[in-house]
Amino acid sequence: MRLAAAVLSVILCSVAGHMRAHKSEMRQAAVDEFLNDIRQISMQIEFTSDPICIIIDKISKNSKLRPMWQSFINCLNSGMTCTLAWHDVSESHDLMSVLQDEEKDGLDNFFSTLGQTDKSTEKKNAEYVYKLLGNISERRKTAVQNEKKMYKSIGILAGIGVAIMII
Amino acid sequence: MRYGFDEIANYFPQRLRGIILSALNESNIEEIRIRVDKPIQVMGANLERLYHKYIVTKAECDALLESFCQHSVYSCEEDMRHGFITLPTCGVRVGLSGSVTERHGHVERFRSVTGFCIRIPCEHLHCSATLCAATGGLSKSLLIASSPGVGKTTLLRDMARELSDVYMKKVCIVDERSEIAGSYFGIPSFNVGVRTDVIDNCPKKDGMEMALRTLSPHVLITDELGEQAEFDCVFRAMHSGVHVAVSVHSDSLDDIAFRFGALSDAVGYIAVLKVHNARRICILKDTSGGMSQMINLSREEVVI
Repeated sequence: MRLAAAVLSVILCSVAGHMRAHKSEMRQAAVDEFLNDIRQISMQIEFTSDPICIIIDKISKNSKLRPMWQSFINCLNSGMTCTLAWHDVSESHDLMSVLQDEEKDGLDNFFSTLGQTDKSTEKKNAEYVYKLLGNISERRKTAVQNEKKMYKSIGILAGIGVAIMII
Repeated sequence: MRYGFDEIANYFPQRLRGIILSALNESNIEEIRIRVDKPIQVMGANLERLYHKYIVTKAECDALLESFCQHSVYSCEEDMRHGFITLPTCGVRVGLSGSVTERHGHVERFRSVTGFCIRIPCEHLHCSATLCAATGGLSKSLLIASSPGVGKTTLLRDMARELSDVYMKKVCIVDERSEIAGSYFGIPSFNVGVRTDVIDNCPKKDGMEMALRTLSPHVLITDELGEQAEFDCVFRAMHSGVHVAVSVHSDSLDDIAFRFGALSDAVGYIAVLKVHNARRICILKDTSGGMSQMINLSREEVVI
C-alpha cells in the first residue's frame, strides 16, 4: 500500500513539474506567435492599407492565436474602439494569463495606438513593440530552457522526497 | 428612411445613435454636421435642426473618426489629406474639419479632427430621363451648372445610368472624390448603369486621360471642374469625338458665359439647375441656336 502511494506521489509530483515547465514554454510560444502576427500586421498595413478588421482576419487564418483575433474582430465590429476591444480580449483570453506584465504592457501600448495614425507612424509603433517583444523573447529563450529543466527536476525530486517520507 | 442609410447610425457612439437614427428618418435630410462642443446639426431642403441636448465631446469625435475609418486611419490617409472620408455604407462622404499639419506647402495630415459634415447622397432614379431625351441621348456635350446642393451630382449619376442602360452608350465616370458613384474600394454603391466604368479617387485630369486612352467611352462624365488643366482635358476629350457631361459651380447663363466662356462655346448644351418652390428646375440651352427648354426634374416633364 505504502509502495503504491509512494509511486503515485512520484508520478503526481513529476506531472506537476512538467505542467509548470509547459507553462513557461507556452509563454515563450505565445510571445513568438505575437511577434510573428505583429510583423504581419505591420507589413499588411504598409503594403495593402486594408482596414484593420480585414488585415486581422487575413493573418488569423494561419495564426495559432486565431480564436483571440476572432474575438478582437467581433469586438471591433460591435462598435468598440481598438483600445477597448484589446482590453476586452486580453481580459477574457486564457492565453494572456501566461504573459507577464512587461509583455502585456508592450502589447497594450501597440493596440492603444493601432489604426489611429498614418502609415509611417503605424510602422514605427509596430517596429517598437516588435523590438520590445523580440528583446524579451531573446532574453527569455535560455532562461526558459533552464526553467524547464529546473521545474521537471524539482517535480521528480519532490516526488521522490514524498515517496521516501511515505515509506 | 432611405435604404441602407440607417447603418450610418452604427458608426456613432451609443449615446448619439438614437438621435442620428431619428434624423436619418427625415425624408429630406441632406447633411448631418458634428462639431466638438457644439450641438448636432441636421440640414436638408427647407430643414435645419440643432439638437442642443446633444453636445458632442472631443472623445466622441475621436471615437467617431476611428469608427468612420474602420479603426484604420492609415487606410484613409490619402482621402483625409483631401479633407474627406468615404464610408462603405452607400458611398456616404464625410467632410472633415480641424487642425492640419503642413509639409512642403501641402497638407500632410490632420493633427486633430474636430468636425464632420456627413453628406447623405440622393439617388433619384430616372430624374435625368427628360433631360437625356431632350439632348437626344447626349448627342452633344453638356455643361451642367448650379449653386452647391441643388443636385448636379445626383443628376450626373442618373445620367450615367440612363445613358448606359437606356441609350446603350459606353459611359466612363471620372470620380475624384467618390461622390458620383459612391465607390468604396473601387466598387460603386449606386446604380450607375451596366455599361459604365468608374475611375475612382483619381485626379480629374489624369482620370480623363486614362479613360480616353484605354476605355474608349462614348460619354465621359465628371463633376465640379475648376482647374485650367481639367478644362484642357475636357477640350481634348471633345476633340477626340467623346461627348462629355461635366458640371461647374455657377447659377446663371450669363455667369457661365462670363467665367467659362470657352467651354460654354464648345459644348452643345448648357443646363442650369435651380430650386423653385422646392422643385428642381433645369433650364436647358442649345448653344447651336435651338430653343431653350425648361424641364421640371422633380416631375420628369418639359414645362416650356
